[in-house]
Amino acid sequence: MSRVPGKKGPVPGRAGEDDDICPVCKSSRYLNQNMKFLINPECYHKMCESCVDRIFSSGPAPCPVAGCGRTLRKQRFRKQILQDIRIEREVDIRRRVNAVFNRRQEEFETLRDYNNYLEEVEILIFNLINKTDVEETEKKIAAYAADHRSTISRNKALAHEESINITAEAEAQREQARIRRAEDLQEEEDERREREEGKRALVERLANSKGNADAIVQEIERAQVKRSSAKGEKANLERRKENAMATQDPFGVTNGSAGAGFKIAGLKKVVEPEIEKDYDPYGGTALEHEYYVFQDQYEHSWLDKARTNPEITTGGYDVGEYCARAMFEAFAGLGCFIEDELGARNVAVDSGTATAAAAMAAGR
Amino acid sequence: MTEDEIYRTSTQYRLWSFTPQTLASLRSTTNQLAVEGVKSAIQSKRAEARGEGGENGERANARSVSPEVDCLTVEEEQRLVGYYCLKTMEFANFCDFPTNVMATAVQYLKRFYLSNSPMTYHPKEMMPIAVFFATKTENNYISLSKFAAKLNNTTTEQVIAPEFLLTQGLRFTFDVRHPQRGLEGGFMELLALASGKGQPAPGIEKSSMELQDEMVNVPPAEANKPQARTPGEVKSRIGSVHDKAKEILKTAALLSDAYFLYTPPQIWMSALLLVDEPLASFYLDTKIPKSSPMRSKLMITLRACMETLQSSPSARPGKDERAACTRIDKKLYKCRNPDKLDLVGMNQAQKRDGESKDGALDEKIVKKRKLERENSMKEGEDVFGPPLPKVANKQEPP
Repeated sequence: MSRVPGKKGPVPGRAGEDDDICPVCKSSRYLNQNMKFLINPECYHKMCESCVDRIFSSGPAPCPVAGCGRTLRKQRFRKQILQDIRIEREVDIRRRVNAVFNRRQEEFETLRDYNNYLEEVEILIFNLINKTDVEETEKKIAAYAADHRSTISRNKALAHEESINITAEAEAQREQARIRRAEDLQEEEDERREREEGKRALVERLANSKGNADAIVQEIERAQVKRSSAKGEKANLERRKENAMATQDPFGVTNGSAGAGFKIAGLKKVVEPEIEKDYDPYGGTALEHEYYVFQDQYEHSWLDKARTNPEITTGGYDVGEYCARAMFEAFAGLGCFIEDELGARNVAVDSGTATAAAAMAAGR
Repeated sequence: MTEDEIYRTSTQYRLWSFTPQTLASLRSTTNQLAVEGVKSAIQSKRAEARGEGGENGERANARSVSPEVDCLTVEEEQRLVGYYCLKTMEFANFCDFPTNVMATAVQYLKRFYLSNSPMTYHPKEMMPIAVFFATKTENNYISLSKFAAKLNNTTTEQVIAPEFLLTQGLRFTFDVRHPQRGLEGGFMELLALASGKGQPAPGIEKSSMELQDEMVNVPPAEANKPQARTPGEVKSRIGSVHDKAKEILKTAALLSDAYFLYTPPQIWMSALLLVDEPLASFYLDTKIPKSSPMRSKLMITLRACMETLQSSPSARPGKDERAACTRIDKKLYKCRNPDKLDLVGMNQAQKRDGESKDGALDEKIVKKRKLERENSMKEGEDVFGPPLPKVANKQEPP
């Protein structure tokens, strides 16, 4: 993917030679067939496995490459994946930075915002790769990671989930392909056997019957062709059915055949709906007690009866509800002074609706 | 939201609360309108009786002279309605309906006769339907036929005839807020206070024990009674107060205008004040401190309410009172609005097909209806529904 063309080794013309000699111990693949080269992302100097074992087994040690001298740990040595060590390094840097800056496009209002963000990240990566302002850049990354720990972990989980989905999908596809292949093989086998049987039957007919040999050959061939075409049709039908089923599958996970394996790009991920809050019939309005403190238990001779009488309690009657209502009605309106509050209003009302109603009722 | 704010949203507060002045003016207006209605109705009846043959001019002349009808005054109307409120209570008790049904029925009558006069609709005819409605609103429903069977010489039609009139008179509001349940709430709290578990209103700093001690030291209601010494004695005092206050709410509060003038908590508080003033003011202290301006305002209102309760007509009228009511009823016989006598007929007339009084519908109409019904049935069964109505051809644009 990010291979630099023509870059096979440090010195063109001696391709492969450099790959096979450990720069530390100078042993070559010629001497050791199983030689493996390892690198450490600290300095990316290559050395063979035995060198790593030798130098770093007893704890951290400086890099043996002349002029490097960085302290390396054995634990961090790993196999080189890409041929070009610079690209290997870049990939590592990208992986590290992207693990922190793992914002997704859905999180942005517009595409432009997202692109701007990507550009910012790219600048950071560029700085790290080219070793400009490394310290400052690292500081920035650390600060960001500290500030956005929760978003980072959430997006990480999301990405993980997606990758699992993708793996499952691929697995399902593979399974489908395997089944299909087995079916094809079986079919082929059947066909072969049939052909042989047909041949045998022809020979037998020819040997036993006394009719025209050409006519018999033609007849049998015709029958065979007929059979095989019927079979082909049947197979076709089955395949079509399968395809139909596959396209019906809403998730496309089981899409196996090449024809049905297409995917619609840019599908929006279904956003997980927020957990609905409990329905509040009062729309957030709460009753404030102005005149009393509601208690859990009230004494009252006939409330005690209601509390214990199974005839009442079995039906689910809640004495507490009665108490709440009684207390509410005891004070709902204590501070409403009708004379003060309605004095002005009633005059208007009376000359309006009430009298009109009275007039109407009193007789036209 | 506080309790007061919630109460202000009720129809009782919005439509059925009045100041004494507006209440009086409302009643006099109603009376006036009813008198006019009665007079014109009687006059037209007399003109009719005098014969259709009379000349137009003569009729017009007769109309301009108002007939001598001795109508009820506002005060007489009030007494009559009060008397029938009593009758309603008796009837509700006779039927073994709970107190809230009785109270609601009485309030329905009172509300109805704010905008209607007994001269137009006789209370005797409105009473059954008021009780019947009250059984429904108060969740104590019995079937109409069973209900009518409890009344002498009354058919279901007679009971139900004024139902729309009453609903209209109630301005389509059936909710009545009574002080009874509030009283129970108050006594629950008083008992809690007496047993040292009560709490004062939010904002007042007093412990339950302090309140209990204070409560024991509340002076007796009457000077000659002994001072309570233990919480147990306080509790028995509360019990007797409870019974007396309940009785007041059952009678005086219903028969007076208290429901129109005051809110339910004010009514039961004043009943409490009437029965046992020291206890009531101690209780108010736990709710509203003496120093707050609200307290003095509330006390004025409560005193006024007490007066209203005290001045209410007696629940057990004496001979004189009964005689007076009979006299008013006799007077009413002469000044009733003749147009509104036949409530059953009026109810029938308002309904569909009510025009023909004998009940037999015009045969043609019946046939037409039947045909229409059959057609619509047929169309309803058709899968694609009825055919589209033919639209007149639109004029094509030039």
